[in-house]
Amino acid sequence: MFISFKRQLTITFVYLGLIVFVLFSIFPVFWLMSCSIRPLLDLMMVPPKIFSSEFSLEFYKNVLIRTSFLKLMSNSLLVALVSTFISVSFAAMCAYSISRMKFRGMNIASRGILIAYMFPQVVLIVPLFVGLNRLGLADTRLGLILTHITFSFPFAMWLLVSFFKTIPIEIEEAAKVDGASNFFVFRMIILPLALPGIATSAIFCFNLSWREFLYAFVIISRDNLKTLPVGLYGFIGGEYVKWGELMAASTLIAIPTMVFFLLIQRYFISGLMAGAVKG
Amino acid sequence: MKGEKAGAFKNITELFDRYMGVFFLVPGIIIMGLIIVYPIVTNILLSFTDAHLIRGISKNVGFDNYLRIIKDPFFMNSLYTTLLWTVGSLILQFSFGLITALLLNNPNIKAKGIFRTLIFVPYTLPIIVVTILWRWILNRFYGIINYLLVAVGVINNNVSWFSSSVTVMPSLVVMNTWFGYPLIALSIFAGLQTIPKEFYEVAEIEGASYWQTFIYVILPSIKRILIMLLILRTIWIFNAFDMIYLVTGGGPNRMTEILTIYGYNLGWKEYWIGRAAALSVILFVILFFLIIFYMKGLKLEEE
Repeated sequence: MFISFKRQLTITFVYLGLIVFVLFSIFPVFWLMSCSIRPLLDLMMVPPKIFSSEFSLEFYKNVLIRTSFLKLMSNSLLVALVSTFISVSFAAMCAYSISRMKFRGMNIASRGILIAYMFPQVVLIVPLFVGLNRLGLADTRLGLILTHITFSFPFAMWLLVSFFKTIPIEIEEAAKVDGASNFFVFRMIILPLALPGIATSAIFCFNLSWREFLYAFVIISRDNLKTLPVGLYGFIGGEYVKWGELMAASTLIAIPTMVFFLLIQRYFISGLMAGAVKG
Repeated sequence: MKGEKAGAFKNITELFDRYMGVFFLVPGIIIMGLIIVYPIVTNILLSFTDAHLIRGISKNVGFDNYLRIIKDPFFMNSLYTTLLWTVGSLILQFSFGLITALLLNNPNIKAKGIFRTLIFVPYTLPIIVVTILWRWILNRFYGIINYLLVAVGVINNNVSWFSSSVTVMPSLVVMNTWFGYPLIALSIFAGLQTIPKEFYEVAEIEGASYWQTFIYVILPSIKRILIMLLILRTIWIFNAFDMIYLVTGGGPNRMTEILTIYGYNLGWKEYWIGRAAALSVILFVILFFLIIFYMKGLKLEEE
């Protein structure tokens, strides 16, 4: 009787603790979204209302019509899609080669990938800017795409090497016995099997590029080439901050990243542990 | 003639096919060279010049850039703020993460998937959104936190969290914790799930308290994951830039000017590219030691 009561109490406390952490995680996001669909008067109300009685899409309308949001979004999309495509294609080729290497070569390669991934942006920005400037690519979207490859490529490699390793080599050997060429094996057997891994790494790369701030901030100075995070930062400047519009724009930027992460959540942690911890 | 051409073509395809593995590595090797070798070499070369963002390079200055940085009181200041930022964030992120993971790991908890997903949400947000969101929540006039704290009676007047010298760093650390703890929680939780049920059963039969189970069963099993996470998070938090820059820009009064912001300002505000390169080299050296630790940790795990 006593033991089961004690047990019941423990479980209650564990649930309470979890709910506290869920609220800690979720409430700010709820607040962001709920503020974005209020009329201006409700937003600036003191004391603030947790649940607004009135619903308004005014802020969204302002963001989409009166600001450069759509232009910024198309720039972000272009940069993210192109850099993802380049990174994932090259990474798939390289990762396949590395995953079929003998132990030593693979070890050196995966250490290299890891080091590349750990290099902070702030350390890379001076050489990248100087290099792009020499090539005449500073302040262009192509230049920005190249800088985004510097982080999305190692990340895609990281995921794909561990993914290719899970594809048994016996499948390839069987095809080769039947006279298939290396390229045929890669194109017709390996790539289809690796499609989930390739899709996952593409989502990751897109997401990394979509949220990137520093490179876009330094490389791009023309307003019509800016990406969403930098453009949004520009919205904050000035005496009077339009909080409602900022909330709406933030929600619009955040939705794709939230959906992506939730879709690949399970793979994310296992990939992270396999990639990051096992190197 | 025609047959010869076809033969040559066939040879090239065959050649490509035989060495496909090598050809496939070429783009990767080029990109990796551009990411690893080129920046190190360029940074080192530039760090010995008077490179200027507008005037360009006119002469070599030897170690002048390094000496100037080391003698600069603001550099020492940024070392101090970086330490506060990194240690504060690590302690809070790991405490929150570990507690959450242990709660989730309780075998009697149902709907773990939902809890896990909801807890993970902050980590999915872009940093620009995180910073706008927290600037709004902690807004001096309309912020919900000020309202709640005044209502409960913790503070008497609204606080300007990100501009007061006392509250600015703790506020940033809380924001960073909110963003980063979900990742740690879920990583530790993944590690906890690899502990066999029998371990807990034995502990229970032996009459171990929860604390004893934690020290003797749980902690040894997740030690390696904790070490790896700690090193990775140290590197990432140490290298953070936008999380602070987008909120305070390093202010007020350089109180949140961490090393990365200090370096950014050297290059892009004061235009001293040479000095920014010298600072990058210094960061490289610090990072190099962190990576060595990480590799040591990896070896430890492989054994």
